[in-house]
Amino acid sequence: MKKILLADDDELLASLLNYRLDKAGYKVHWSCDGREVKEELEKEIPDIIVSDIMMPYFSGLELVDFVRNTLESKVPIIIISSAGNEENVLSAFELGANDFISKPVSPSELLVRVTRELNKG
Amino acid sequence: MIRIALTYQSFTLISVPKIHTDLLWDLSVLFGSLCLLYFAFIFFFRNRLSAKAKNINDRRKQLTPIISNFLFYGEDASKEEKYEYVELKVEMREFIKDPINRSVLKEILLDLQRDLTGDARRRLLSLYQDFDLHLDAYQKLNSWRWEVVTKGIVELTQMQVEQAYTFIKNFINHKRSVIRKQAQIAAVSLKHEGISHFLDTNKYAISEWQQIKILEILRDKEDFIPPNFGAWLTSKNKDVVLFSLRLIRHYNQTDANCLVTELLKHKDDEVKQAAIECIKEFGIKEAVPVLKAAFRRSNRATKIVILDALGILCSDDIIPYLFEIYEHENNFNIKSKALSTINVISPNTVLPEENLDPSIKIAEEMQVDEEVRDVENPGEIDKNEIVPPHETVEEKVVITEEASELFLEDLDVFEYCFMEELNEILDRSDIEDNDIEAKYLPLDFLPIVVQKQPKMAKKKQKKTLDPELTQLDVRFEEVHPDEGFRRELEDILSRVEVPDLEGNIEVEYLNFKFLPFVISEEAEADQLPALIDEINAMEVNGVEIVLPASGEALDTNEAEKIADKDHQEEENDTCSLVDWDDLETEVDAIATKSIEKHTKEENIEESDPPSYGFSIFEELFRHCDTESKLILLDEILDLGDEKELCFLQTLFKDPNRDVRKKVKNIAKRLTEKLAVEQTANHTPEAIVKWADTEKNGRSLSLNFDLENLEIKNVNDTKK
Repeated sequence: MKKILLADDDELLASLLNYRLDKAGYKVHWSCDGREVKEELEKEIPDIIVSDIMMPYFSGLELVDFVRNTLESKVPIIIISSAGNEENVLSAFELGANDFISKPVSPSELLVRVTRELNKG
Repeated sequence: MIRIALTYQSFTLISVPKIHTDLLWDLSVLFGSLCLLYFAFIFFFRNRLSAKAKNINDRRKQLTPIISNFLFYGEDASKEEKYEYVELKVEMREFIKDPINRSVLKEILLDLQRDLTGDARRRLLSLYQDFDLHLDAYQKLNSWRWEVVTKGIVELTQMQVEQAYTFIKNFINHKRSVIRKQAQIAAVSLKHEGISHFLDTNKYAISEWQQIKILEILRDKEDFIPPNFGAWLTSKNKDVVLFSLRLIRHYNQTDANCLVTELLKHKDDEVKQAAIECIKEFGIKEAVPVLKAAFRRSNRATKIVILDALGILCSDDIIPYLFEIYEHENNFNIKSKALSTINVISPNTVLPEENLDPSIKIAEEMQVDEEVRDVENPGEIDKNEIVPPHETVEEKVVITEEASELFLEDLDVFEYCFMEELNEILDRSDIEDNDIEAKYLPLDFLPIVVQKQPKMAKKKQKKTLDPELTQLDVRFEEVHPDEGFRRELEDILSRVEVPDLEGNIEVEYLNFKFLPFVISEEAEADQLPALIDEINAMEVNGVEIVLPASGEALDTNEAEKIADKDHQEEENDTCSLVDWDDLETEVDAIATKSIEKHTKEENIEESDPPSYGFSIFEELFRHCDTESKLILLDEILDLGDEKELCFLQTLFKDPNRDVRKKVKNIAKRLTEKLAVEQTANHTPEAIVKWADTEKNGRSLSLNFDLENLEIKNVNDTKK
């Protein structure tokens, strides 16, 4: 079972996505802030990371940078960003993010993207 | 005693008031109790709120998986899953009977609808209505509090309860602007016909922000077929008309062109401007006459918008109209816009005039002239130009206005050099043998002056002059007159002394064909023969200058003869003796021709070059500030001559008072100075002295050899 690290401070949306991904057969670990994500990543690298850009303590961009440069991992990263936040998305791509999805999120679409990224690897 | 009394009296004024100690204790207890009560209240309500928040959070956590289950329940679910789903729904109905649970569920659904899209969102909205949460919102619409009504409208709009449209549309013209605006957005958002109803019934103004919001909603609406917004261009509400125009532009409804054009007759300028923008965007060329008609009746801003539209819609035929606007309008912005519109229609029609360097312009003209000339007559020699015998076609220089000004300056240099060289020759002639035969004055170095005539002038001249005359190969030269030069020449000739020669020497021939003929612009043609007669009659110190009798004015045959003769001379490259017959007739011919040309040029060209020489101060003066001008004027006094005097005369009307005053002063002083110098320099001794002193120090070296000068002893002639 593939392991997904879901990093989002919005509990409601995160639980919904968690439910959807879990239902699709993935093992999802949800972290509500950046510090927790960092600790989790230091323990174990998941198969894919789905992260919101705006998070307390440790933003999505920092997360991408941390994974690519500090951990030197090539794990796929999908960024969730708000609409009209294209600059951050571009920055995330420059840092090494693999894909992005904008809010409002379609859980089905996210599932498709996650599956595609995992199949690439 | 008194002192003691006063001392104690003063102390009583600032002494502590006599309050009972028990009262102080009572007050302390009271305030302490109030503080405790305050903190108790804070503690109590804080805990209560925290407990409530925790309770809600717990319920949210409890409800979220249930909602997720509802949202991601698939039709392809198994029987067990379907059974679970129905059971869950029943539980939920029981669960939301509690108002807090109902409220929590509503909050969750409202939050989630913002973050979700697609199929999950559709299910979310249907879930909202399945649990009858919209009924709570309906109840809010009946509230007397405006914020509650607004919340109800917003909730129904966000959850896309289409049935609420019937209730919400009644709030479109609500007296409270917040409710009204929210109702307008709801009406447009909930149903496709909402926009039509809104435009039909709206009585109030529609703000820009509101228009943008509604436009955004319409844009995001799926399967929205926009109605013909031209129908609302006749609305009595100005804002409805403006919004309709915006919608027409947004949806490119070009079938409303006639209605939009009609709006140019609207009384309101804002509507007019919006209509013009629409016309401009759609490129409605039929609206041009209406635009022109509306121009006079419009305000400044509208006029500018109309001009802008004309620039896009019209072609070159509108340019006269735009020039008319430019001439008649007083407002700078409109005038400026008219010019820019002209340049939009036809680029480079109006060129800048202010702050341009005139010298650059002239240089460009020179270049253009040369190019035109090359194109018109490639490799062909213009017959009306003087071409020196040794000069090739490639070496010809076309002299323009600027060059002719410089030429005037060159004339002064030439005059000076000529006088110097002539003195030298004459001095040399004193030393040489008695049988001096000064045959030649090698004056080929002299500048051959070619005055290019304007094309129009040439054409007119060709019409009036004899065709044979126009075909002459020999060119005339026009040199601006200098009476002083003639006088100096006479003076020098009068000083000619040949002591070694016995008897009278007759200067039989002085071949002065090389010289530029000096023709006064004001002089009549008959004055020149008189001058020649005057020189002819001279007998100075035994040397008689023999000149032929003055002739009459040149007729065409004579001119032809002269031309042939000159041409022959040039071809043979032989310098014969001075032929005064030819000289006189040639002078006459040139005078006649020059006068004709001058009169014609006066008609054609308004701006002739100035009659005085070019002052070096002129250009400097033109480009400097007032202080520099005053300094320059001082320099003019020190260094200036007649040229500067003429230049100073042009400055008498200078806009600056100080400059004007100084110019007058300097002009006066310079006149006096020049008068003194002229008196001192024009004596024969002074000229000789001046020539001697300048001989060594001159900057311009010329080969001024004796040529074509034949002096004949009068006695020999008599023999």
